[in-house]
Amino acid sequence: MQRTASYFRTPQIGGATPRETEILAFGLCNDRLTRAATPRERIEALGKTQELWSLLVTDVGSEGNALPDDLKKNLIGLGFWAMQYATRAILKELPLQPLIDLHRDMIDGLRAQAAPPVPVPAEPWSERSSISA
Amino acid sequence: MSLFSVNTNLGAMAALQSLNQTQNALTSTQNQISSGLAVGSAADNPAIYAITQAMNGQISGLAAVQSNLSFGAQVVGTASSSAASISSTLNALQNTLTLGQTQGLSQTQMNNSITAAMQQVDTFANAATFNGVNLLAGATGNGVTGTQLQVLTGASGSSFTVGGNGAQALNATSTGLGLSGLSVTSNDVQIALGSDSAATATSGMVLNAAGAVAGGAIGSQTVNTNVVLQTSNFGTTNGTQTSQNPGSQTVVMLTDGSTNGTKDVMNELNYLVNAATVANGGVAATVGTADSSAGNGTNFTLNNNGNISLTAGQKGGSITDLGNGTSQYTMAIASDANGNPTQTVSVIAANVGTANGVTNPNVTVASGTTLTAALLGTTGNTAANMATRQQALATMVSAMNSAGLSASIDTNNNLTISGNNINTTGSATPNSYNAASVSVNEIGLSSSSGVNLSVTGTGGKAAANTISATGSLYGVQQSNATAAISNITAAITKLGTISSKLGTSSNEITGMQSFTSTLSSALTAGVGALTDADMATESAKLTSLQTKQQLGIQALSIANQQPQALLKLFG
Repeated sequence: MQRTASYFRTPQIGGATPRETEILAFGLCNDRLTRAATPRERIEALGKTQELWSLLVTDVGSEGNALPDDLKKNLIGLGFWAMQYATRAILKELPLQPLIDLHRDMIDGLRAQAAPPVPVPAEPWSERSSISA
Repeated sequence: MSLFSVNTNLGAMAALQSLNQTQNALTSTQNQISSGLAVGSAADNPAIYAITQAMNGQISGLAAVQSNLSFGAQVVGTASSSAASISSTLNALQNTLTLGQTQGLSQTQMNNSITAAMQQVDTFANAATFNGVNLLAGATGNGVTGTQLQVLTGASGSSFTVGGNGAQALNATSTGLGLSGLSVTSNDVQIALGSDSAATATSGMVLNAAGAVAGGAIGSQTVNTNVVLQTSNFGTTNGTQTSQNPGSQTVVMLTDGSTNGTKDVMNELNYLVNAATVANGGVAATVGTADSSAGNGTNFTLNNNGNISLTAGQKGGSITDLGNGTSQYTMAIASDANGNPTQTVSVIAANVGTANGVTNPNVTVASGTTLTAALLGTTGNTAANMATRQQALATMVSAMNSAGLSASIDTNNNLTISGNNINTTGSATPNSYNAASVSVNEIGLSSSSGVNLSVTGTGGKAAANTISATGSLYGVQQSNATAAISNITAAITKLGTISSKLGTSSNEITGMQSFTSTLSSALTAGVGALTDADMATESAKLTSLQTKQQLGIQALSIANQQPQALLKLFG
């Protein structure tokens, strides 16, 4: 499938909260995973997934991360599972849906509290506009 | 009425709804799993898990290893996918040419198909570049900065390597697969092995064991002698055999490169025996055969004094002058009930002047000297020895095929070779190819220097065999793209070797995945079930739902230490 240049362009994320950025990041991965039409696109989508979880796990595992320990534990476990699954899926024909579902859960969890107090940021995202007031 | 109710707060309602859905999904997943997994919820195991500082470093280290494995997988995966495309292209081309043969496609049409396919192959090979690393291009340049991939497999720095640099690089380009210059009029190379490939070599071509005489006491000498082993089968019915017409006859013929030389056949045999002895690790070599039945056997032994000795049981030997300065020593080594020989052994000294009259023949033996394979490690020119030589030829053909050549011996005992950019027109420029434990030198045609094919086999005393040929090697233009098709077959075989190397690397990466799984589950005690092969996905789903719930009641972002680090994902 031919991608337009805009597909790879940096999204407008100025002004987004960290949680919103994370929602965007998971959304980006899911978009790539869903739309991968060639082996190369599939590999790149899985590489992106791996990169995202690597960043998240590293942060969660770092000393100052303020999340509660049981949530950290789950995120690190999921992160390593996702990284391993992504790497295996590069080399073997594994379904991508488990990763997409995982990211969907993360998006939903982040979004549940993502509705910010006023003011609403000027830039609307399709993901959050559906549930924000 | 103006009441502030949580139920009318749209955002809160959405959040609640989300939590309710999560709870439902969680219950359902838990039911699916039912037992066997120790995925503790926060409520079950409050605070038993604490991430210590020591773990912090390990987690980031493991994440780095994971990233490295993933990078390796991405490079290998990209190469594998390109290799699969190349394979499809070659198979399609082979089909086209095969159909073209029967359906009368013109040479131009077929050549156009070939050209297009070669371009595709090269495009696919170049497209395998991932972050500058290409495991199929065979060389750097053209956007390729590396042809070798080193994958870090452990936080301690252990690693493994895929591909190689320079000549060791995997090369699936059209040139690397031996398809450069391919056309329907491509030539094969044929070597005539003679009418009986097991036993006869045509003039000027010798089946030999050059490597076997390297080194040793005679390593610095040179000999011009070619030893040719011949067998002939005559009538075998008892009663029809005569001394002139034995049941079977084995002939060892010595020919000298120069005509009317002054070489002494006995001395030449002596040197050959010496060479064979060295090759045998010092065990005295004999050339001959024996009838095992008591009193009936004759050992035909070439000893180091240059004498042929006949031991007990001999039925007599004779020397015949064949004219033209050629002598023949013949002895029967087995006889039937009537006393007629059923087996004879002859030594023919061809073109070497008077056989017994010359001493000090000034014959020297060097590494690279020709020795009959059957002389090495065998005790007679028996059928078993013939089989050994057939085996040696089969080994060589198989080795050539593994090395990316297409080689076969037809019913007329022509060895036909194509593929691997074989030089069928110019002078030979030998290149070595490794195929498992054998090495094959590329052959090419040359009017002067001849051609060298050498195969070092995998064991057995006749393992080291060389076919060298001068003058009897010729390029053969096959009609109807036959050479091109066998060329492609060879390329597909070679590509298979590359693919299997990539497959091995894939397995290695997957194996390391299991290892890091163990480490990460040790770090995250309680999520160990995530690494259970069968339940992993289901279990991840459960944890995922739990986490969704936890995130839903959490205000912090996941990466709350360095949230800006995530921005690089969007670059």
